[in-house]
Amino acid sequence: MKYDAIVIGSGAGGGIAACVLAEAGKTVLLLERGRQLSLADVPRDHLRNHRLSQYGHGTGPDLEGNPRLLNGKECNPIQDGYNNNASCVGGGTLVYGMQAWRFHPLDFRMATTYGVPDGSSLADWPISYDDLEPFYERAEWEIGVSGGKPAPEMPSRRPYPMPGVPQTTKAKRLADGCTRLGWAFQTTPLLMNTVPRQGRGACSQCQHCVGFACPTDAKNGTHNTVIPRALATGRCEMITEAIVSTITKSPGGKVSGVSYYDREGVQHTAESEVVVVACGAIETARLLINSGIGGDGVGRHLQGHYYAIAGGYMPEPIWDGVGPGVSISTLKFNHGNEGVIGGGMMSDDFIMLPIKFEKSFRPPGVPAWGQAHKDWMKKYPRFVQVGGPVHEIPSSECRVTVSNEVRDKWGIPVASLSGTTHPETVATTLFLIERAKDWLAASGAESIHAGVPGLGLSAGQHQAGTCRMGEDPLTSVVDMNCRVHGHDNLFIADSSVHVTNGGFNPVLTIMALAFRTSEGIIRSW
Amino acid sequence: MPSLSESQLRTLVSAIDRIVPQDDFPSASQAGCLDFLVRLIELERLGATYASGLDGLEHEASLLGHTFSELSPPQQDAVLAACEVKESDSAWLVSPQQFLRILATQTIEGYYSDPGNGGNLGAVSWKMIGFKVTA
Repeated sequence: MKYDAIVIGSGAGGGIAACVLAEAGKTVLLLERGRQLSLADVPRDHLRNHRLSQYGHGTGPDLEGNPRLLNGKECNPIQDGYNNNASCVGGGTLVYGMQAWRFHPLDFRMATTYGVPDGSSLADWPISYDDLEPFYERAEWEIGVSGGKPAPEMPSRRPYPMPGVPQTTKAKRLADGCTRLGWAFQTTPLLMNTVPRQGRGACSQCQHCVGFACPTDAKNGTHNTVIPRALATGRCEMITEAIVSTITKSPGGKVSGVSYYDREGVQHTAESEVVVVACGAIETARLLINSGIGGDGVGRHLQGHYYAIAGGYMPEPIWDGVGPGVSISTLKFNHGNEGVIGGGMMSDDFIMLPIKFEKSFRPPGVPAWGQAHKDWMKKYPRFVQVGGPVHEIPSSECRVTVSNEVRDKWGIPVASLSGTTHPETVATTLFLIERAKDWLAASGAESIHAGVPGLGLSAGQHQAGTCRMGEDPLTSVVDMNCRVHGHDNLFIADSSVHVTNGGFNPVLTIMALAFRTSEGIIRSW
Repeated sequence: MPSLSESQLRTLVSAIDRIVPQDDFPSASQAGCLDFLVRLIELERLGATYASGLDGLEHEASLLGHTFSELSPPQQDAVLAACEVKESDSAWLVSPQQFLRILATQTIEGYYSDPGNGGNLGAVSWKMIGFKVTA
């Protein structure tokens, strides 16, 4: 059977592409390598989830048969270096933290604003905030965002469809801190129902949000919004546990479809007029390279986010158990920071799993075991942390290639990650850690401490950049419509196309771009 | 075939009760961490590491003329703390530092993770620190 379009990957970008194309009357084959998961498939196991994957994770990829390499060393999906994202229907949006940020207008103009540091591949986007603005709004309304007014550092916009989460006890103290410092703050926007909407319930304010599936289905991902819409058209066929090995090319620069393996390991081919790749920045690059598409630029500029985080202790307990737990943010330091390039948004955090607290925030001087360790754990309800994603300064040498030796269980060459971010990323992170400490101190916290970042590769759940958008085919992989240079009917609808990755959680930008790209495909069909 | 002998299990109980000792709240073994560890050891194929490490602890205790379980809590703490910085030793088939790191990390994982994992029976550690599940 020949489809109008094949969409590879059902995450934040692919789910939207499938929906827009199917609702426009096109027949769509949506291929997802993971499974369709129910709430029961994603248990509240504190050692096996996407927040803390100590011995496993509920949502894939499976630990066996899906290796990657980091700097030549093989790792499985829960080991350091894999840079995993959930693999299931909805992708990361099934279990994500839902922060619904638009990038700042200057995030699209980093090279013009700051110049290009030696050794970095910092560049402007070929499109602007204004180009993306209508699609941000569409994502906010169609996927569903809750929140309040934008911070003064951002342009005005249409209000969100739902009111913001309530301010927690912790956030009230942090708001006092912002007021003392003269920093503006806002309610953290979330892709989450704070009131019943689109036939699903409101958040029950539980304590297992980020890293887990939602018990009231209030977490708005593609799995419960646009994918059901796509399927409801009767024109979208979704096949799960189907991994694409190659995109097939036809003469004249077009692509003709894909070759994929089903859950039994049987190889199939499917043909289509258009192919949309949305596998995430690592797997999209791997697929293009394995298909011989896109040239040397594919896989370069791999980036994610460094996190600038500080923790401390209030004089009295401030844990109120009101989930999801993140409710206050400041955009004071996204730009205009003396002596550093870019910056980042800072927020409070989700309710922290006790064992996550233990692993991430044991301060210097507290022993790893014994009575003193137990006494420190009793300070958990006084703990507060703030921080956020730092705008990375990319390097073309931080990249995805494919391994010549290591293959996955289907025999497909696996992704191999190498290189590091640019040192300016570390400098900006160090600057923001100091601001996080300032915020905690002004809010009344004591015993404030933070880790020290080193130079490394960051990709993880915020992975981006590997199929850069640009006008020049020599320095980019896709054009400003996210069409792969030289292949008229091949598009990318995920964070691979991000030229830079903003000082924010990137998912709303992925969604906005997927709406824009898919509408563009329909318009030029 | 259990991966640990009766005497090794006895050593393990004494050791994890120094990793998380009893105070107003239960010790590691009182909260179920032994069962948690026995299951984890099987799942993660750590039997040889634990057997060698526990035998190593007994070797250190024997130098004091006792079994590890017979030592006083302060003596047990001193043995564990010495192992935490001890270089490799012919009496040990596993690195003492590595074993102490695994023992402490995994005992604490059992004690503070969800009751479903078996090491935090009745959510006792969550009650201690004030983590409540309301929905």
